[in-house]
Amino acid sequence: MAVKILVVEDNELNADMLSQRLKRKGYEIIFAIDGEDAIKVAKKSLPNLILMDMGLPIMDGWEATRQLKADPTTTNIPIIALTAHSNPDDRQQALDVGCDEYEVKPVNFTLLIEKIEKLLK
Amino acid sequence: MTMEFRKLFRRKQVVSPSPSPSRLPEFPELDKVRQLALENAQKAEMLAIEYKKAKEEAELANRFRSDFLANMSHELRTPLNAMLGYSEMMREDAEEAGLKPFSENLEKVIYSGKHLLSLINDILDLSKIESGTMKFYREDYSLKKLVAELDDFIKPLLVKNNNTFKITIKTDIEIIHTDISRIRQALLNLLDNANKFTKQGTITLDISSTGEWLQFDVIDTGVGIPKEYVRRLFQSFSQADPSITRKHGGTGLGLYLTKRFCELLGGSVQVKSEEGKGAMFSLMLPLTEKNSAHQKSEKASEKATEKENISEVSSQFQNKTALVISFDLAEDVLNDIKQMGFTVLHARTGQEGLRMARKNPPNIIVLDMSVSFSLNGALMEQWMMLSEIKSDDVLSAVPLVVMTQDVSQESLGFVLGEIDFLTKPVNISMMMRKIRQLVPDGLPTLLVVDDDESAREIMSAAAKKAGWKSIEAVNGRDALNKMADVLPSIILLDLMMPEMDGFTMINELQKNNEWQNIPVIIVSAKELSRGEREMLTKCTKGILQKGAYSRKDLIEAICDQVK
Repeated sequence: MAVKILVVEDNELNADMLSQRLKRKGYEIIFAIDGEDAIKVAKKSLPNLILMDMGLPIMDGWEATRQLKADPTTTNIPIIALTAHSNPDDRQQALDVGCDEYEVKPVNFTLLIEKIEKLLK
Repeated sequence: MTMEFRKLFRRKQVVSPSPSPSRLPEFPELDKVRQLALENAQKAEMLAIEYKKAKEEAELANRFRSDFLANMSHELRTPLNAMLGYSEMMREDAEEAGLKPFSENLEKVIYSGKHLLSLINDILDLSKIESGTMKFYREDYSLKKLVAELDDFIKPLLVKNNNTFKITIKTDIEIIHTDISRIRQALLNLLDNANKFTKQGTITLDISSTGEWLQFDVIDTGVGIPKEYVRRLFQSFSQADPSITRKHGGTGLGLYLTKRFCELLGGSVQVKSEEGKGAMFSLMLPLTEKNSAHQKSEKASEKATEKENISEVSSQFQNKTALVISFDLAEDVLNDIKQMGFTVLHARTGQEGLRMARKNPPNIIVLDMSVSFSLNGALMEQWMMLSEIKSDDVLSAVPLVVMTQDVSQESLGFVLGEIDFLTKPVNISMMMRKIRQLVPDGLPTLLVVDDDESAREIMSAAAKKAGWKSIEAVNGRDALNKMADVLPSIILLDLMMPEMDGFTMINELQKNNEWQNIPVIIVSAKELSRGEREMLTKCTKGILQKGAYSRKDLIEAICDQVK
């Protein structure tokens, strides 16, 4: 069975771009457009990994990560935080809320794939 | 000082009688002198007020510029993200299909995109440095790894000008403690520059250390820098010779940023060069005690606070930070918070508090808006501070306790998020988030009160899209009438409106039992006008003090917020 990745991103083009690139690497992609949606989809489909944009409407990525990590059904799903702010504090904050990895946008795809593979091992 | 002076002056104004010739008829000059002194003092005070106003305005303008640049950079990066991603995919496709001309051209698109990205990043960095919001992330990093990365970066660039690259390491330091991404950026910039201005020569990276400093020398055998330009090298937006920009590209920000990064990390950058004889740029980083004196003192005070807390009762909030912003908050309140295990940071002004909060976002902010604070003329600033915190991406998520001290009753009153701020133009996702925070369950009914039709529509449309109900009102009076029919779960309130403004409406809400607990989000221009601030200050006194809470309640409130 293909490895399932949940892409949480509110910008349509960036979500499409990311999913196309990940599909080429053989991953199955599911989407969520905001934090609330992400929690719903994650609980229902139990993906192998989540790519979470941090600046999301309704519920942001920080809060969604906190909730996913607090829930026993989703706590073991690795989460990679994606954020547009090249702010060093975000890195610490992402790890603090429970993200397993961190990547600044625009994404360096080679690095991102490396991180995904490492976390899926 | 100024406050003391003003206080004294005010008192004096009350006591000092108007010139009264009947009391001292024998010295009419004395009255004249008194009159003159009074006039001069008044003038001095007026000047002081004007000075403060001008200073505030200048600071505000500067902040707007920085905010604008920061937002702009963010907005520019998002589409660039998609463009680079799609281009890279197309290049992969072209390579697989064996379409070499396509993949070569796409490579150029990607190269240009990345270049554009680095320029945008430079501008973002510049705006952060200028507004004093630049943040650093210090970590331990292997020097060997850094050198390998620099090598990887510069090698492919050497071909163009046919240069060779040499690395000499004359130190046994293995681990450095600094913001590695910034130092990497600085060194890459120096190496890139050296390579740009050297043809068929040698670039050397020489790393050495003395007792206190780690030194990176970037030496080239290139064209060198004319004496008259050396001084201007490190200024922003400047290159040694304007014609260089045309020939070699660049924003002229690189060296300025390199220098500023190093200085902010406790080091320095120096240059030695003669025209025609190459150049040497030396980047120095402090080694002892891991970093600069500034950080040392920070660490020391952290340790001291921790020590104090160990003996205290509770360790419930160990490793959590509370930022208390207050001019003269009683020691015992600070101690109460310390006893809970918090590391307490104390700022005496709003500006200082904001700086501290941005540098290290605390777990909770306690903002003093007490009467004694307002004597300092600082209450205005506190309002700015409040709206500033609430419109900051990171800080708006930090729980905020606002407190005010009723001096006569010696008790504390406070509000917790009863009033929230949104600035115009409204960021819809932030608005939705704030509403969700205040009304966590069910489908909220919004009451949007604004005399600007388009503003109302934008907010209503967003709410309706989410399946929420929205009622619109054109002013406070209209809103109160509509509230008699339907009770909203949250109110989005503009301040300046005809017939009944936002301030009066808040006052009306407080008078009604059913209405006073409805959360209100004030939607205002980022820059509150003087009048608005004054009115807000006046009307909040009622709100803030509506419950005369005790110190114990304050502590409990903090517990609740941080848990």
